Amino acid sequence: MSASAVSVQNAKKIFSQKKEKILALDGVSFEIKKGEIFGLLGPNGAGKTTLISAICGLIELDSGSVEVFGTNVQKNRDKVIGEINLVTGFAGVLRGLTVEELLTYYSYLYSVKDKKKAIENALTLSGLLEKRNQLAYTLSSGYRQRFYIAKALLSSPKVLLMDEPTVGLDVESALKIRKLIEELKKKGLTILLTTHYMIEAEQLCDKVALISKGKIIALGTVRQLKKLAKKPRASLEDVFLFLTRKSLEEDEDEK
Amino acid sequence: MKNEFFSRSYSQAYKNFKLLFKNPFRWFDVTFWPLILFFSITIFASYLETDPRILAVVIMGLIGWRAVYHPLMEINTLYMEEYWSNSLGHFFITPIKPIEIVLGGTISALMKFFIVFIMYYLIAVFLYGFSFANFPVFMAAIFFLFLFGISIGMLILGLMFKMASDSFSLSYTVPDIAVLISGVYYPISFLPLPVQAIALLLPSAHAFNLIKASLGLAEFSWVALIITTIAWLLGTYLFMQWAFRSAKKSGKLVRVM
Repeated sequence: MSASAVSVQNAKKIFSQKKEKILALDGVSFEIKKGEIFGLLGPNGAGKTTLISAICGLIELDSGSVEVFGTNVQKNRDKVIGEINLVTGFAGVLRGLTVEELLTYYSYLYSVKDKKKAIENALTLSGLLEKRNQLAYTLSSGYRQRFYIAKALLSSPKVLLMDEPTVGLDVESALKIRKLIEELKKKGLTILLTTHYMIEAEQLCDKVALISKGKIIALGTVRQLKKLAKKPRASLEDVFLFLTRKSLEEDEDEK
Repeated sequence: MKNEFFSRSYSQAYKNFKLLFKNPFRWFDVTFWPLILFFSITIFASYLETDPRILAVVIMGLIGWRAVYHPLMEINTLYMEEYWSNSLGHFFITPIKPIEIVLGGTISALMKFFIVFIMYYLIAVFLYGFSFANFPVFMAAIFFLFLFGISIGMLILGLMFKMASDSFSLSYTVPDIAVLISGVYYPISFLPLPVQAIALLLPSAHAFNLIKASLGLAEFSWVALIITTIAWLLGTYLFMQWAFRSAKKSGKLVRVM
């Protein structure tokens, strides 16, 4: 059994759009230990969603590998997909069905044995019990994120990929989602969290990787990263700005 | 493993059933639109007062075409529902496979086809004194037409994986073209020669010939029907699988790019 829950090695991906080539991942490598919350921070277009899609096996890498509990996702997705689930602020919910009906739908998709029990557990843990008969697409943003978490928990995943779960939420809803993430960690889940909010990463993550233009520009604990900014009482935001500016200057020097 | 396959396939039928039973407008697909088509064509056919067998061909043609239409539409709407809801990411993160989408769509298509079949039959008996010339032969034709509907469903599903919303209009145009050249309501010999050659590559043309042959109105070949059906099923299945892998490679499956 592998010691790390997720291992990404030298992942490369280039997308072709008409005549344009877009380098989405440029040799990304990192490992996430079991039970860890791993933060992936970066601006829009940095490659965070591509990386998450590769870990789910939803896109194929051009080279490199992604392993989940020692199984290569690109080669043996069927073997390992049951261990992974996704919470994303960018996808919608299927229109026309209530929260409970949608969870039933997903429980069939995940071949959950005791559907009733699994749905009750997921509704309870995500705080959605009183919303079970509401049409899922009419839920507010905060409750919708809870729904995604409930959906993800149905399959009892060991690795949870959370793609900006608090994006667009008000302060109170974001706080509740963060609290929920902490509870999931206590239950032993390994979590990969992408976010724009440095405060979120500081509060939740055991380890953080900063990603820019498809490359990991820094990786370590929040404390280790803060030292990189060479500034007293630096925040992760300072580190990020310092490193991205440095990387820009290096790019210009190369030109 | 087997249970998981059926559970995931049933999830798709569950989605179609739930959406159908919760929204009265979705019943139009098995009531209003089929009835409009039925009355437009049968009233016109009876107005012409030609050979009574022609009206029987038209009624069986109408039923037969629903056997093609429902599987292809049910399979394709399963994908379109997720696309329109922007929930493809949640959908494809599950272990669902393209063939399970096809099987799920086929289950709900069977139910919808059964409703329309019964409705058409009862109206045809009541209004036109209709009876099947050879029921087992007609049901054999229906079986092959249903398989052809599944084939077109897989073809369009593959195109959706590759082209997403750009291909949605094909769900409606491909069956329209097929209905035109399959000789649903008239003999294929009525079509221009080059079109006839294309029509004979479609199992639907042979299946409708089987229906006409049961009334002594056409010649028919079992070999051609079976070979074209297998070729379409196999060809469209392989295309769908290729399109799925290719969409994963390009990121189009979940619109990463």
